[in-house]
Amino acid sequence: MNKPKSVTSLQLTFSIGTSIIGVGILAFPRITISLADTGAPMTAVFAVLCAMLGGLVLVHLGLAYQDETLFEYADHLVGRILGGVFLFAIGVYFLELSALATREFGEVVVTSVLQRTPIPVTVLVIVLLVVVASRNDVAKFTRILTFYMPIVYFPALVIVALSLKNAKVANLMPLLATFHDVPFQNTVLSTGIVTALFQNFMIAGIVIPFMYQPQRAKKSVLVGIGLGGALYVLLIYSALSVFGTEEMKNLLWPTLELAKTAAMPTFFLERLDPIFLAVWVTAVFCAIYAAYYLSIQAFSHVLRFQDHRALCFMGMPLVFTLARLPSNIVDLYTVTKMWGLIGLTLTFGYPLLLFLIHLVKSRHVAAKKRPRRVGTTS
Amino acid sequence: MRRWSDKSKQKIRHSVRENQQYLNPVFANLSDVVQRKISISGTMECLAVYLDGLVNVQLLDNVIIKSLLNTKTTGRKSVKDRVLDACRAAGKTITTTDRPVAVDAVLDAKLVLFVDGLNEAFIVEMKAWASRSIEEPASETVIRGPREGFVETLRTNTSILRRKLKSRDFKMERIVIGQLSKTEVVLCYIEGIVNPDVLREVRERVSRIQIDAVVSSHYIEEFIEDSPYSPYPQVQNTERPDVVVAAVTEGKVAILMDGDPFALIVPMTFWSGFQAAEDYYERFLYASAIRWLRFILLNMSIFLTPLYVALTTYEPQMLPTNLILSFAAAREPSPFPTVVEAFLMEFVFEGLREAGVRLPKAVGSAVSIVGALVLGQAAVDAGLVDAPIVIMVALGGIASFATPRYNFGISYRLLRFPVLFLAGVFGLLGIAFAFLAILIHQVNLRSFGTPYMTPVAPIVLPSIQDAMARIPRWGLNKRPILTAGRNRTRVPAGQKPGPRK
Amino acid sequence: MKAVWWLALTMTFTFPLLTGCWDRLEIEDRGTILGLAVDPVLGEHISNLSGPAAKSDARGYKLTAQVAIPGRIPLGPGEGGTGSPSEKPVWVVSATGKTIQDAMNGLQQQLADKVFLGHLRVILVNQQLANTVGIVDIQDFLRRNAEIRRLAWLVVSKGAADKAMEAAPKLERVPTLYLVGTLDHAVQMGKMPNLFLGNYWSVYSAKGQEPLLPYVSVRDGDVIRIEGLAAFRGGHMVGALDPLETASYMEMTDQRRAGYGIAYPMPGDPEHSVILRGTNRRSRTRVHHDGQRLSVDVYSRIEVNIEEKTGTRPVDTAIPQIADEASQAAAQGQLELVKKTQGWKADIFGIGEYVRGRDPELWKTISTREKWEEIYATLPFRTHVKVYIRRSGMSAR
Repeated sequence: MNKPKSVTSLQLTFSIGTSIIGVGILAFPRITISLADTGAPMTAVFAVLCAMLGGLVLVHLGLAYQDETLFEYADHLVGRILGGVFLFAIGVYFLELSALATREFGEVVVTSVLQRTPIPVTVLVIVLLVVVASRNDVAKFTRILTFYMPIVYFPALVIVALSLKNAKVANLMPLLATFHDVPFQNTVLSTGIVTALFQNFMIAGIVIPFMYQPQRAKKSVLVGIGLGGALYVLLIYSALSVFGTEEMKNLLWPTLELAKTAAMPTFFLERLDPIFLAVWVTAVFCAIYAAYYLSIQAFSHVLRFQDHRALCFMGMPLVFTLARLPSNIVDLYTVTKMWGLIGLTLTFGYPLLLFLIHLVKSRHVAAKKRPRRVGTTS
Repeated sequence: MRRWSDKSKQKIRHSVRENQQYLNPVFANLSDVVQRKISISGTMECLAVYLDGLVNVQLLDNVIIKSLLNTKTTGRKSVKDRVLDACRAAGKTITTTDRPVAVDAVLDAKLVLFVDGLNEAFIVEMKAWASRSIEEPASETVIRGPREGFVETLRTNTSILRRKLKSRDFKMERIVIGQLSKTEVVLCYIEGIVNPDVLREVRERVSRIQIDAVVSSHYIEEFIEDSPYSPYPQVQNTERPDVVVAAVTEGKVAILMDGDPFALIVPMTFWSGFQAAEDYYERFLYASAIRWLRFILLNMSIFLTPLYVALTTYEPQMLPTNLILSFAAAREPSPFPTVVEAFLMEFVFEGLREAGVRLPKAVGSAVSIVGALVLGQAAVDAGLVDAPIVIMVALGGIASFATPRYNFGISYRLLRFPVLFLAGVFGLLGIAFAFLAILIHQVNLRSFGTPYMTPVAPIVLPSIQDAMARIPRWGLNKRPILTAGRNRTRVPAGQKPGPRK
Repeated sequence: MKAVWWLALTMTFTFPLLTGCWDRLEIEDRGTILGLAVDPVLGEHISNLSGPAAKSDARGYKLTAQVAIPGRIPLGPGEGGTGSPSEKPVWVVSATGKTIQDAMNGLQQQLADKVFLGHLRVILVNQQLANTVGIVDIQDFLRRNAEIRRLAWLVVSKGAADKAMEAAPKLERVPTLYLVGTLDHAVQMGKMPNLFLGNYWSVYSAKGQEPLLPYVSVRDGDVIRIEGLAAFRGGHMVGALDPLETASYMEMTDQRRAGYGIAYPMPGDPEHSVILRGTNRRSRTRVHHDGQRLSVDVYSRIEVNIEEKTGTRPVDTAIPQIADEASQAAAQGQLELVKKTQGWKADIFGIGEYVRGRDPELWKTISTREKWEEIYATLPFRTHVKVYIRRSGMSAR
């Protein structure tokens, strides 16, 4: 496969930054705070660090095999059969991830905006958009994600800024609850849940070989995850400071409530939450898009397709069916939580495994070459 | 094309009579072909063949015939050389021995001269035809700046361009397309600045065109676009030589053709869609502000009516209570749902606009009066539609007129209807969907290898500022990366005026 | 061209699918409810639409709603004549039910258009209801409905709440908007903290603080008056703060914007007084824990302007004395407020939240709302107030 160099490092940064902001931002403050109390923002910070570590592993591998995607060098490292099995798992995982995100999107829409519109219709529209967009190559994929970055970040920042009026510092206290009364396993669980929201950073694995300057990928990935992470941390801090821990446990989607609390003084719009939701659609689209794209790319690699386009439409009914599976909203969140945590082993464990094999192999090669005194670099 | 079976028949004979016998059937029923027999001092028989009205006859009389008369018949010079000298005095001259070539030359508005005793024809270029004078282009007016515009004559246009760019790097490549029209098309670019890949692509796409006749530059545009199904124009057109010059100095390629005052410029980006020539002739702060204004108006032109529909029928909680109560009060007598009303009014608005454009100016103003007063006011008074929707549609319509490029504006105007439909079905969310879909399409579009949204997507750091604002000339040191080739420096740095300089 | 045909084909199949317009509802088809009053049902029959299982702590609720009638709202000077002054632009409807939603269903029965709560700006609750059964059930109904604004006002009314729905103030055509304006302006003028519905929820959920709500009364059918604040504990109203106590409360809780004019005796001239109007306030709360007991220090500083003086004594020489006296009086007022709330066992200052935040180890030993209420009831407070007189208006003396 020839890979035209068409992605700048800035694009990779923004793409990662956009793709990790998804449906999750609405509910995650509640889920983490019910686990870790006021230590929750801290666990979000930990999660960012974890995701960055995962990202570093990917970048390191990407730099070692600069012209190959994650899927291709995985084949070299663990063999085609084992690589295929893992890849299939990744494909299924991200497909279900996008299906769950789609369903969550549908639930939010049906609860708060379009109460009588059937969920399948709204879901169909967003899935259709995703499917059509995923027919593009990697260059366009990153370009779309990059382009949406300000649209995703700006409104969130505005909401945060406007809600600060109602913030109470006392609600944030104690800042370091993690080290006081929160059980350790809750902290770990909460960190895991937030980290699971960052899993779309995996797109770095397929984007790096298309970069003009792959050596800059490390900075891009770190900054990208950092940007997305910063937004998560900012959102959870502002939601916490406005609502407090106890109220937060009552709110199904605290971030949406945050938007409801935000009012622009002397502005002709009285409520900003529908606007926030409308813009949030962009974030949801980007996240689903990234997950779906990854999954389609993985499948087309497993099945040795020349072009991933053929698969795009085939994935659509699958996503649709998978999205219908959870029976109610409680069920949906349980499944999402479990699936995210299970996936961590795949999205973090698999690159780590590849990394270890890579280390062993390159040692082996270096050891073999040493007697011949051939200088090897990288 | 006519095929000559016998090769020798295609050769020009020594005798003018024989040649004329050949030409007569060829030019039968071509009433505009003039065959003029001229006898010079009784010694030399000539036949001048040309198209009436396309050749400068005065030159023929005053220069060619006069100089033939004045030169002595005897002398060292051969007859051919004498005729050649006389013809060269009138214009660029070539000779041919082929009859078909001579025939084609006549049809290409050249003077063809047959001389008795020579088996050659002289083809003299002395085109002269009635042409519109250079005027200010009606489609792109400026308050300050050059007022000349292209005309239908290609060579006039190239001469205007050459006057502005006196460099041998400024190339004008000639390509002829159209089996019947044989239209001359010229590719203008500056060597060293133009991106060679783009140039190669343009050259290939233009010469690939197979068509009977090219009447307008849009014929070419349709053949060379990247995405023919897209509503967006991917080729910029202009009537202004200064715009063409500015474009070629940025590394773009301009396509001029004979018979149409509109030049095509490729590659086009989204942002050039709402940049007017005026931007570059006004103070940059003002021009930047205007650019933002246009961008906002452009978005208003497609999103305003849908937003009104979405807000009133789906999210009335967003508007202030007082406002929503007055909207409700205004809507009380109206029999139709808001969406239907919006569609209706948009439809009427488009109709009025179209009627206004096509009708003669005097009648056009009547249409607008009827539209504005009779339809708008009376419909509201009669309770057929409500006042707010009329206001929204009118505002959106005015906003769509603020786009300086007409073809760009109409593509947006068309998008208003699907957006309105989605807004009617999903409310605000539908607008978000529409917005997403539009942006996906825009980001995917390419114009001759350049992404349509450059330099915003993909982000091209030094160029992005020129899309966001009109950068003062001393600050715009580099040419855009994606369009320009090797030579990137445009304005040497450090020319910002200041008291110490 | 094949692509176009495909597109056309998909369009023809998907468009009818999309034209449901499921949620489309024209504004004039919405029964826009602007204000809602909740009263207890006393003697009359309670209609019950949601089935016999509907039960709540109250015997029943009577909802009185102010529904906008768009046709009667004057659009502008040109159409001022459409509604005669006697015709109100709102329609007052009421219904009863066993629970709030039950009553809401009853209300819907009476309205042709679908009830729309997106513009609900004020929910008035009868004090009697707030005192006895509390507002737990009411706020649950509000919380669950996605249309309700978090920034709406939940207000306790002294006496029957439905009277406020029928009040016809002279300044505004729509009565509810007048009430909203009254509350909003009180916040802007610094006469009342910004206690909107969302704030009530957050504080109500917190374990170490008790919520307050605005407290209004309707007089003579037309005048709506802010009486102060209603204090709650566990969802029940336990008492009310009068305007002066509201001022003290705002002084103690670091509400910067001050707006109360309070009279103090002129030093050395007890027959006359000065009125000081606050402009700016700052306060800090410190909780001390000496191993066994907690104690609270509240430090506040108030900047004031002299607004009026009676008598002939010039103020310019008396400014320090006035400031001293005002400081003492304010500190005394704060202490009295604390005493009052301790009597209610309602920690409206959020001292408990402070303890939870700053001393999580100590909070672990408390951890429940009930325990904190007991501690709060006997918590020693010290108030330290410093009043700074900055300006004396256009008069030099």
